[in-house]
Amino acid sequence: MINVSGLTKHFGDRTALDNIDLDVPRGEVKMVIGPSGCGKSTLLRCIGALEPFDNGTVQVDEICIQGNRSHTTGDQETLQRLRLNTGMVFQQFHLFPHLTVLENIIEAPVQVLKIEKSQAVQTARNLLKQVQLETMADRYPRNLSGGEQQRVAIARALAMNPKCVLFDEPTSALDPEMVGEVLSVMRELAEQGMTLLIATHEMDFAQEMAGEIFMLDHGRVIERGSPASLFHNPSQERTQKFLQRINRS
Amino acid sequence: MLFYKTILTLFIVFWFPANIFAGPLEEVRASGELLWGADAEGGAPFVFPDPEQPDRMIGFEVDLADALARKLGVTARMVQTDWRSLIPALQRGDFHMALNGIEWTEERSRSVDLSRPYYIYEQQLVVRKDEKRIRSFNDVGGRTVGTLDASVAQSLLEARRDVTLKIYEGQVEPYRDLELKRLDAVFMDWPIAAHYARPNPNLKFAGAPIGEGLYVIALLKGNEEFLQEINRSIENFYNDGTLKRIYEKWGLWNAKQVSLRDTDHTARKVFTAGADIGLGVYLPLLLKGAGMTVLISVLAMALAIVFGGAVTLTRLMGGPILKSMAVTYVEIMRGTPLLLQLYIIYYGLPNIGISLNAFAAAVLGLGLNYAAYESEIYRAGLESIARGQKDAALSLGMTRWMIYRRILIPQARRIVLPPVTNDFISLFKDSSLVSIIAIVELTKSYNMLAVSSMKFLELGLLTAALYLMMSLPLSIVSTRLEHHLQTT
Repeated sequence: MINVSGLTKHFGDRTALDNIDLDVPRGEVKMVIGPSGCGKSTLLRCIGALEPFDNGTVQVDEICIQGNRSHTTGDQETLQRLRLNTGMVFQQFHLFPHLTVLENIIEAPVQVLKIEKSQAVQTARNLLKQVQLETMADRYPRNLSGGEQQRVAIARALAMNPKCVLFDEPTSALDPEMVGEVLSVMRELAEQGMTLLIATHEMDFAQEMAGEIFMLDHGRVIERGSPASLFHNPSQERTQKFLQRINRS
Repeated sequence: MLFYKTILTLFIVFWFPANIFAGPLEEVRASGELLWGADAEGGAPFVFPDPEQPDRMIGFEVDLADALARKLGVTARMVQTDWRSLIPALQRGDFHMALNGIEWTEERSRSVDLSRPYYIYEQQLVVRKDEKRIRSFNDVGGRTVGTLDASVAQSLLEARRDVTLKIYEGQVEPYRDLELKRLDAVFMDWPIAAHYARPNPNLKFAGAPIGEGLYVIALLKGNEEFLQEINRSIENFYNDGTLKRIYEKWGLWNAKQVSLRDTDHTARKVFTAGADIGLGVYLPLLLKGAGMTVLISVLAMALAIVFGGAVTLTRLMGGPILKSMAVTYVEIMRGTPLLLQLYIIYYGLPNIGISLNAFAAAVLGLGLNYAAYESEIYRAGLESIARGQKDAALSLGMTRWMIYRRILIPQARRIVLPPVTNDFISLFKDSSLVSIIAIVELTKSYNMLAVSSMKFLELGLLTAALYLMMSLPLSIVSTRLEHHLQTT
């Protein structure tokens, strides 16, 4: 479903992503871990076509984009189709503050997919039920807790009926007591067979849910493997140190 | 005690030298300078910059002032003052006399001393060369006629009640507008017509001059000695041919001037102040001006909002050429004075065949100028919205245009509302600038009424109250709207 090969990106003379290969087959859950600034977010943004990259390819389902310095000179239609294949959930939620919860969810289906409004509302209500927020439909984002906002953001991404969903540290901005409610929604998604790529610091969650984990450091995948092998028998010293630090905190 | 001493000291410092003990005549002799107020912007042949040496003032009134100063054994120095402010400036003590085509009127003689006349002028109607219908002042009914602000010609035209009046600050612009067919005729003092219209091949005099009047020198009230000195000098100048020589030099001498000899103290006829007219009389006129202010401001603001928005979107979404065009536009409009832009739009564009009427030019000038400011506000507003909003919208497959329309602009609206209201209020006030292109809005109405009635303070406060009555509701509505946008 998601296929990244040789992805390289520079910010000026700094190499943010260095020749990354990564794949997520249909229906699987893979996770990216690594210290802050290692390139997790940039990788997800490149896959979601929010960030141009210099070399390599990103393929999501049938849509493939090549490395290209600028998005504005690229093929806009391909970029847009790739974005439509890919749902995206951000660390800071990025709900639209001027729209209600329901309006946030139906905005893109109505505007972009030209779905009948009544039908979009119906879908949105079902999604809200799924994330257990059916009573919040008419509230504005600022009246919701962080956990609630993130669940709305997940519903908003799902409303576009994407082929896969990218999560960029979805619980890092949340108070600890709200982390659980968001993770349980994600767990449910995985169980329904959705293809997920998750950047996270939640190691317990990774151990429980990930089919494969990619350890990223300084823009390179330094180690990849099953949770069991990576957590209990890391081959790289860097991975070991990182896991120790995470576990201590 | 100290308080009273301070007051007394201030009183002495500010009043004593000029007004109490030493009269103006003593002051002139002591300083060796006769200060006279005039407005060179008014133009030829009165007082104007020498075309060959623009830092020097020439004109028949300069010659007269020099002659008067010589008689007193001093030198004359002109003090540049806006024509409408000549009398208030004289009263404030900015100069010793105002000498600049000041017409003798009964009203004026109540507030300042007026000398015996130094010139007898009449009003001359001027039309285009090809004009057939208007042969004299009798034919101007139903026509659009231009004249000078606060002049006798204006009163004569107003007395007819059947003429559409256009009031100008300068003497050149009415004739220009006449040529451009914005006016059917121009009715102004004969010396002005003689200097500007007579040599112009596209214009001609219509009928004989009418409405005889007197140019006099205005002096601060109550200095009999100074007044007598000035009057004696003028009389001497007539008798010894000085006046005739000056007027012939400027092409202003005519048979009329002979009666200057006998027109002695006409000007000194002091009327006891009549029953004062209440401010209520002026209110309808000011309200009419206020209506024009509102109309122009609202239309100009609407233009500024729409065009400013277009400039912003061009700048944010256009290609490099469009982008730099938008930037250039903003820099030019912000970096040059609005007054200059209005002049260029109204008086300059006709040179390339675009002749707008005054109202359209005013709305366009203000609107295009404010569009530059609006566009900067919008840009700042849009750029202040978190980058994540655009990311989220992009990842949902929205197009760039859709993102602006549905996500960014609605959010920017509440951010820009306070600065836009602020701009609207300053546009309200800046709209007073359009009076230079012969539009009578609130400030212009005030000026005209204040000059003729001398009620600068009372009418000023009334006008200020009118401005506040217009701008305060705007602030209140904006605060409400802001609140409303924040809670929805």
